[in-house]
Amino acid sequence: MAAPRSGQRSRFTVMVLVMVCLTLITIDTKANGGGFLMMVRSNARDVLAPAQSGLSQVAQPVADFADGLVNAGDLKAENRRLRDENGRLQGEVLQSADAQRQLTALLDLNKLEVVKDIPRVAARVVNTAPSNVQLTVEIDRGTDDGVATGMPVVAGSGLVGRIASTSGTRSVVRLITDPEMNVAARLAPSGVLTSVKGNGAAARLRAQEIKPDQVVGENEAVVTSAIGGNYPDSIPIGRVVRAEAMAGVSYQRVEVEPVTDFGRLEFVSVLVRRGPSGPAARVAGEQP
Amino acid sequence: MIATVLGRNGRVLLLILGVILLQGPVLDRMQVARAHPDLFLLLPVIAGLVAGPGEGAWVGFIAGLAADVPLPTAFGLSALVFTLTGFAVGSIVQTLIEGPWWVVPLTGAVGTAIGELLYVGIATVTDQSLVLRDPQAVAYIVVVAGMGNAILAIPVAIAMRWAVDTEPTSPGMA
Repeated sequence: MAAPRSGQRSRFTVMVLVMVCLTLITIDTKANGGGFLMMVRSNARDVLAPAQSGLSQVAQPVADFADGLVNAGDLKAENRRLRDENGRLQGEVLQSADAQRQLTALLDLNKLEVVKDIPRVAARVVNTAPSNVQLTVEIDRGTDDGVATGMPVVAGSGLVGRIASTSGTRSVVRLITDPEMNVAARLAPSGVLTSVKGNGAAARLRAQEIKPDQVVGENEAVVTSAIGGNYPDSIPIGRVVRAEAMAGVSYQRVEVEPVTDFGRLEFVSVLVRRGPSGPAARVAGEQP
Repeated sequence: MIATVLGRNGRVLLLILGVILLQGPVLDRMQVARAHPDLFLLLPVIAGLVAGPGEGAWVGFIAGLAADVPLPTAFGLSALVFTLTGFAVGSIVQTLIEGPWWVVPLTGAVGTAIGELLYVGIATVTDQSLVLRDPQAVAYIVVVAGMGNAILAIPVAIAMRWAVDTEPTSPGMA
C-alpha cells in the first residue's frame, strides 16, 4: 500500500495534468482548426513523417506477416469468395458484349460525369488513426501539394471520404464509414435521391430518407450526387444489399455495402476542386 | 549503459518515441475487423501497473500528447483520457499485493477497455464530432483492442519497468 503522502502527491499531479489537458482542449477548440497548437501539431507531423515513412517500408514485411497471422481466417474466406467471384465473372464474360451496350446506353442516358476530368493529387495511405474510435486515415500529401480541408478523396473503386485536416506534407481523411459522415447520393439507375450515412467501421452504410413507395432494387448502385456541390456526381459509393420498408416508419431501412475496402487502402486520389463556398465547404448535411 | 546516460525521464521518452514509430507503420495494420492494438493507451496502463498512479498519469499525459499529434480531434483529448486511465489503473492495482503472471495481461485488457470508454465518453462531453459513438461499434473495439493489448502487455511491462527503473515487485511482475 502506498504511503498517504505519496497518494496525495499522485492526486495533486493528476489534478494539475487534467487541468492542463482541459486548457489545451479549450484553446484548440476555440482556435477552430487554426492557431498556435495547430501549427505545433502540423510541424510535429511533418518532422515525424520521414521517420515513419522509412520505418513503414522497413517494417512492411513484418506488418504483412503479422497481418497474415491476425487475419488468416479473413484471407481464407476472401480466397473462397474470390474463387466464387471468378467463376461468376467467367460466366459474365459471355454476356459482356450485351453488357457493354447497356453500359454505353446508361452513360448516355444519365450523362454521368467522369471523375477523371477533375484535377487530382495521388497519395499513399501512410497511417490509420492510432485511436480505434476515430475512423480516419493519414495520407502523405498536404497543403504543399494543394490539398485542403473538405476535398473529396477517392480510391480506384469509389468514394473514400474527405479531407478532415492538413499539414504541409500530411492530411487526415475522414472515412465515409464514420457515423458523422453524411454524403449526398442517389441510386443508379433509378435516380432516387438519398443521403448515405456512415455506421461504424465494421457495419454497412445506410441510405436515408427513401420513402416506402420508392422501389429500391437489391444490388442497385449508390453513387454520389452533385447536389450541394460538395462531391462530383456519380462517384461509386456502394451497392444496396438490403432494403426493407417497415410498417409505421416513414422511410425504408436501406443498407449499402461500400465498394471500397477500407481495411486495405493503399493509394487514394484527392480531388482538387473548389465547392461553391471554397475548399473548406462542409459536406451537405454533415455536422461539423 | 544507455539506461544510465538517458536517466529515468529520458528512458520514458525513448519508449514513447518507439511507440510513435511503431504504432502507425506496424500495429495499425494488425487489424481484426478494423480494430487494432493501441500501444499509446497501453503505456499509461502499464506505467500505472508497474510504477503507481502518479507515474501512470505522467506517462499517460506525455503519450496522450504524442497520440494527439496526428489526430483531427482537439489537442489534449487523448492526453486527458490517458492521464486518467494511468492514474485509475495505478490506483486500482495498489490494492493488489503480488499477483500471478496473468495480472499483467488482464490489467492491459481492462485498462484498455477503461481508456477506450473514457475516450468516447469525454469526446461526447466535449463534442468531438470525429469520434465514433455507436455503442455496438465501441463495444467491438473495446473487445478487440483489449485482447490485442493483453497480448502486448508483458513485453511493454518489461520495457516500462526498464524505463521507470522499478524492482519487479508490482502485481504479476515478481
